[in-house]
Amino acid sequence: MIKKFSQDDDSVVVVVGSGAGGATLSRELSNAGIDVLCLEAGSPVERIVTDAQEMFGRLTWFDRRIGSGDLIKDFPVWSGKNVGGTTMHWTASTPRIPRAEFRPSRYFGDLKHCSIIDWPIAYDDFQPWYHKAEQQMGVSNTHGRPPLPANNHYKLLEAGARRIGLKQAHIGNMAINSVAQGGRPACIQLGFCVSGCAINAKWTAANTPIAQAMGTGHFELRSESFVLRIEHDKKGRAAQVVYVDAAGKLQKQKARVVCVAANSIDTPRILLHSDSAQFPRGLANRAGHVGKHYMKHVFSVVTAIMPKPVNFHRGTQNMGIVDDFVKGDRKRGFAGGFKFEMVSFDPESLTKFVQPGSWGRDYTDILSKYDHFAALLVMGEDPSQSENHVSLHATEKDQYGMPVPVIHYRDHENSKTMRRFGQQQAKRLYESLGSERVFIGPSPPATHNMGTCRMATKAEDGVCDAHGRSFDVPNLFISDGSQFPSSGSSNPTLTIVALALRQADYIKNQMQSRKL
Amino acid sequence: MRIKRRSFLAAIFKSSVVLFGAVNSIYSQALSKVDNKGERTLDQHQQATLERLFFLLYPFPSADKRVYLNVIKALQESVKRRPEKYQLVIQGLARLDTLSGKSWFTLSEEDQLGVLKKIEKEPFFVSMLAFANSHLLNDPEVWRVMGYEGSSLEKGGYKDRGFNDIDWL
Repeated sequence: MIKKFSQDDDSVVVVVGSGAGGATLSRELSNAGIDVLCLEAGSPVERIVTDAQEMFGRLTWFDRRIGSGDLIKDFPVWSGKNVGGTTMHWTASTPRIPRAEFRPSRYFGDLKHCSIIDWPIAYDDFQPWYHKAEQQMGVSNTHGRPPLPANNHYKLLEAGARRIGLKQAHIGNMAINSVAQGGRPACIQLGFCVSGCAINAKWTAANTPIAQAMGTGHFELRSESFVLRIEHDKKGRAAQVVYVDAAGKLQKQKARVVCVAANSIDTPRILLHSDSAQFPRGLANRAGHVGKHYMKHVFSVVTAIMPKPVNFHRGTQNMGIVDDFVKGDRKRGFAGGFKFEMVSFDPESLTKFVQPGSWGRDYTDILSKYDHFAALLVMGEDPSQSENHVSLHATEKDQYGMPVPVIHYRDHENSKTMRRFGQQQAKRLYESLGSERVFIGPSPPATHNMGTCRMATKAEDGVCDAHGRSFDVPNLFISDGSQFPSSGSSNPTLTIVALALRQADYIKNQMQSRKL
Repeated sequence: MRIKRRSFLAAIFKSSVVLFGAVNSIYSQALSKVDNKGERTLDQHQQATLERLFFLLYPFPSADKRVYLNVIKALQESVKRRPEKYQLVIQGLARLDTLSGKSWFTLSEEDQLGVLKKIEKEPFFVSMLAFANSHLLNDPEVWRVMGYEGSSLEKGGYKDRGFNDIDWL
């Protein structure tokens, strides 16, 4: 029986977004007998095929966003628009944020023009939530689960790392089944992880928490429901969510609690668009931090033509990591750390990172060596700067009549130095194995988006507290990566899930004791 | 409104384009070819020029020539639906001949490339490069030449097809 809540039912928790955060929160609350309605802008993904460009077309959020500063103007962010959100295309890398990175003020504190704050959660207090997240996602290489097997590309990365004296190359913790579990099969090395896993060996918010929530009898998923605004009552409590339904009609849904998990661009966008007489700068924005401190990680793609075939398209795309540079060392000339993460590309995508815009015989000579290619991502910690921010365009509106979001971002000098260093180390790695050529590629559109509704100890420093609860609106929660007060050097999804598990426990307690 | 992926990606690819200037409507009418169904078409000379252009943009000599004909076919479908794109293409092709002082198609390869280098930043060139990129690099015959093995699901993944067979490290 499919659950359907009345739009006038003000006892429901409304969750905006069915990605890693929203889906996890939905499952936890509905499993505890709390009625949850999840509003998702996209549609369910009907069928996944092993065709990278076809799936890119089906999974991607193509609604207009404008990039400014160092971002690609027409496509600054690569996120998902579908049930499952960005987890439909994610790489499934699930490292924890290391201890030192919970206190970025200790190494970023002296950087100019930054807005560094520490996490308001103690590292030790947070570990049980990471543990729970790893169990629920079936993360390989943790808690007795075997690691994924090494493919050609990983063996090459590991060999190169050893050659240049690095000691921390490893398979990585991945939310991809190394053995069948959770009702999903083991990985068969399809090689199309980022296009959506066609057999669901990869955990997604759709195949796990949403599917589980559906079975509780307390959950409704309303897809093709685009949230425009959250309205509040006279007491300043979130009262209803305004959205456009699949037929293009404006709808209103009442709520007891509202949890926003629309990813770090649209979560602040909704709040900014929910301004009122009582909240003139946007809902939950008294301290002025909504949209600010946007972080996306320091990224670079380095590719190389190796002397003999690699066939990097065969098998799991991103399961090789090198952690030697995660621990910061000021002697390198910059603060903070970065890692290497293996990455593979289909032919068209490769041309976006290898001399993009090139043509002619010299170029096709390079492309004809496709099966000799190796590649890695330099992924580093991005210091928060208040000027990097999401705002509403003054005049441009999208197809729903909502202002188009503008994302402004400029690299910090520290990030530029870090990136150059990382690129040089990657080059060394490939050259140690006899690479014929190494290409330094551009920053891809941001796939890790964080910080725009950050948590803080004090209300003047952020948007929400250590449980993601708004300082200004007592029944409003931030439930996605917007909460991050710092980016760390790790892929964000495991942390997003762990935060959602912890937030769910808090909300359950608060609701049961009628404090919410 | 669902934005078509190909035109969206092409727009990103062309993000630093120099504006070409106003369209001469009489000139473009003279170039326009309309078939007996009233649809915009590309004549033989235009098609031959495009085939050579697409080859010079992404030369894969060991690929079957049909890969370039496939791009032309796709372009013909595209310009049928989009009048402004049709104008861009036919005027761009005419400009190749103008810059050559004769039919660009009859020049030596070196001279053909010389003309192309002159128009590298112009909308026609940028548009054709983006179009050729997304079509050729998703053609299974080009994949064969590049060494990309394509779709994997129906073959059971790479678990038993060499995912870890590297032997030269």
